Amino acid sequence: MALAWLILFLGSWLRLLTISGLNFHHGATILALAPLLFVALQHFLPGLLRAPERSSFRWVLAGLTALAAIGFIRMTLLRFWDPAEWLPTIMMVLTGLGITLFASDEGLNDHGPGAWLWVSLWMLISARDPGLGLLGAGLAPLVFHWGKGSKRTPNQELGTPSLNWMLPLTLGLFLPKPWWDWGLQTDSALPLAAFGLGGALVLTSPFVNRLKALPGWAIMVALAATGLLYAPSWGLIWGAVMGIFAACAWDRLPDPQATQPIGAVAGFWILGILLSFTLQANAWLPGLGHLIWLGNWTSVP
Amino acid sequence: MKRVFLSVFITVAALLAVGWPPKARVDRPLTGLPLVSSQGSMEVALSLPFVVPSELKNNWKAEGFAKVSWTLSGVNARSTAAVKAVQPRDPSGLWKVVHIADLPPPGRDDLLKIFISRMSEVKPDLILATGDLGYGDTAADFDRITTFFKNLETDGAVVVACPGNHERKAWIQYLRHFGPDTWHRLEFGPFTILSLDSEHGRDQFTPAQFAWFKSELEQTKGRIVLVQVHHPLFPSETATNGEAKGSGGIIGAHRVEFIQLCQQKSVAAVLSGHWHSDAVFDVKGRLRDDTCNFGGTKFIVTTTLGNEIRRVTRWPKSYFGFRILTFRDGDLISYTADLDGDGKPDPIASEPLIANAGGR
Repeated sequence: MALAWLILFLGSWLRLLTISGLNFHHGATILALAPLLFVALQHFLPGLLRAPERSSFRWVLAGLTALAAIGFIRMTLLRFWDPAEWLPTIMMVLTGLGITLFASDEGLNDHGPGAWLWVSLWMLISARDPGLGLLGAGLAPLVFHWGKGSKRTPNQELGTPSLNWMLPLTLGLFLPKPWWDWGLQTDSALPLAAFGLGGALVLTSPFVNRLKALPGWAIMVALAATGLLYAPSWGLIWGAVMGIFAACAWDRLPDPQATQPIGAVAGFWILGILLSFTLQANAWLPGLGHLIWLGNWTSVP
Repeated sequence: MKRVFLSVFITVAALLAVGWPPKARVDRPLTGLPLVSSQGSMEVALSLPFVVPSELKNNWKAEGFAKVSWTLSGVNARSTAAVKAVQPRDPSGLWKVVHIADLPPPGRDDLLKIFISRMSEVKPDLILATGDLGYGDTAADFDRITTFFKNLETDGAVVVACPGNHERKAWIQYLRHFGPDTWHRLEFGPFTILSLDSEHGRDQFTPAQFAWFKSELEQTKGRIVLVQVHHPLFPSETATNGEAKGSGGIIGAHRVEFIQLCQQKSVAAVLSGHWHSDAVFDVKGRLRDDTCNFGGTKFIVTTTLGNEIRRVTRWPKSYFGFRILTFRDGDLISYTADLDGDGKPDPIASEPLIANAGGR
């Protein structure tokens, strides 16, 4: 669930905000920032945002989350979301609230290939409209809670604590590059679909144990190096390799319920995306922006 | 296995709930992004396969297109527009391309009307609108611009638009009115028009856009290539007002490679705006206020059609204006105005919209 929440919901939400820009003259635009509040609450008041214990309530909540996501997309499909419009913005916030409640109950290290495939599928579908990633996020509670009772038992294994910030920050920094690069073109969605597929494949592959034997720092270096080497013509392979390394690293994330709230992971993911956006926009530190975007070397006059 | 079936079922049901009945966005032709078609067939670019809106299909058939087919929107769809063997409107066989940028803001519709009136005299084949089209952020502000373009098209010109930095301030409205293809190609008569998006705040070509531009230039043999991009390619030179109210910005990323490519592929002209001031550079970046006859690609900056007038380079003349590029037998024969009336075009100067209107 956390994977869908981070990549499909928070990722798509931030992408849509960067497309639309923010005009704070509109009240609805401020409401569109509510997911930031949810993440902050998750971190600082981890007990507050939780899905209900009773299974029937959870089903109702999952259904409502899906309906909110469907409502959001029905209003914005093919015409792009304008955060200044109240109704779709409210639907987006309700979707975000629903999936945040479920994600708070989930661990980060209990993902099988299914979650990665789900991300892959919805990233592919979002080639038609970037808002469709939110629909995939809104449907995730229905799909991933099928057959589950109420709350899960926290995994007490510690994992690698430093990955809690290094992995989401690195992914946030590099994974959105195809979004900035291709804008609204279909091609922007394909590397991220390959990313999900790469993650799913590595988790089902016999080589997974060999990859898992690599030290955490080596996986992170490989992930960052791959992220740096993005080129539009290699987007699919780039995405798949990113997915392979990310899935290996993801498996080592400490269980947030045993260590710290999941909000920190989301916070670093958001920070990474915002940093990525500002770097490619040359809004800050243009020299560093060129380092991140190797394709821009020739810009030096 | 049960969960796989459930996932598939939920996905399909949700997509049906969202997208039934199937609807597609027509990404081409649009105002500012025309589709020039040959042999009475029309290939439209859609966001979803098969679903050509029946109302539009009937309209196009009524206009004489016997066959309306579709292609999926996206990068690969951009080159598929067929070339129509259009004839120049000028009876002497000259092709006229008018270049405008930095359009009048809301409240200055009088200037738009004057321009429409001037175009009925000039009778251009193409009008290239290179960004900063509207300065408002509402749908009405953008409706105003699309109406302006439609009026020009009614008069017989084909309008091709690309975004500028001000469009980024109301990006959703731009996308809703001009479509998500913010960089695109148009074949028109002997011309290949490559319209680019220099992206506000980035002032750059992203790697994907630059790769697209490079590959499109490979398929332009024998054609007159015109490139329009909002931000100029060269700095305004030292000792001038280069950052006049922030308008002095130039393209950052891929700049040198872009200029070299234009020269190698014999691009006739790269047309920009943004400065609200006229300028013409050669491929080495020299401001050519000495002559308008020099070889190689011309990097042309055209003054504002009706916004605030600025002075950015040492070129002293400022006014609201537009530029007429005239082509004969594949050659660019003029692109500047004759301001002093000596019968010869002056360097750099664009065509004044009105004599002394807002100029200095």
